[in-house]
Amino acid sequence: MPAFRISFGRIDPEVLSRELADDRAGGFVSFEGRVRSRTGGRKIRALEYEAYGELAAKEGRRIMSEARRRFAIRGAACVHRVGRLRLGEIAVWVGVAAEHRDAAFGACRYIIDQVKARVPIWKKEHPAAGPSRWVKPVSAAETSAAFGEKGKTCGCSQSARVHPRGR
Amino acid sequence: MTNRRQQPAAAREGRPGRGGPRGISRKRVYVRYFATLREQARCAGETIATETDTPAALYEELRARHGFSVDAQRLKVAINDDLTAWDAPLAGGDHVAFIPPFAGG
Repeated sequence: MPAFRISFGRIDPEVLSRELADDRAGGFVSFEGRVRSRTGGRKIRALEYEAYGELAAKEGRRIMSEARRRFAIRGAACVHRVGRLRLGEIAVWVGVAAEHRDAAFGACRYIIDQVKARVPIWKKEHPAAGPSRWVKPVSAAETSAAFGEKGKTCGCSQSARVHPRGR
Repeated sequence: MTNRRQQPAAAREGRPGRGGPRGISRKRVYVRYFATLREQARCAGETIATETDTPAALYEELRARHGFSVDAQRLKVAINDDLTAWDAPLAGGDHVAFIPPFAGG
């Protein structure tokens, strides 16, 4: 099973974390990105995700290798769902197993931030009222910086600051 | 297909032709669209016969045809699933993907 993949069906965190089971991992950190009911003051009914599958898989695999190089982790996986998702459903899941928690937290944060910035996946909001629309990246500069370089930008409200260091 | 809105990059002379007369190569490429572009093109992909030599020129040609609202400057382009420069050479059989700004997660 590749460490990064696109899923057309429901994401099951239990199954995914079992895949990362490891006797030597004293820490396991996971992140779930879920469909929330409000964004920018609009009430959301559903989100629709679309991926450029081939390029997403390539970029996703690169991110997972980077995480393994930068952090002292035992294993990591990331699954991004596509299709139409209802409120509360998991759109993206990241799990990291490491001997120690610092590396697990750091790698998990790194992976989700990089995935959001670099993996070609689009999100369309279907609001309770009004027209549906494709969600724009936080800034145009972000997308241009997204590919290639070390740009650690993300769409999260907090700023990303990861320390490429274990323990 | 005529190039009504030829870009300078595509207007370069001297590119070897691919079987076409007078160096004009008419090639078939497969084009993929995502998100906004897919909706505006009303399809996820199509085979295009084109005389354009670069993704930049191809995009302008397709933009004229489909009325795309997005400027090329806001897009990325991939040939055969690798990101590439807008003035990279296009070859027959290439898969070209135009990538609008994205925001997953």
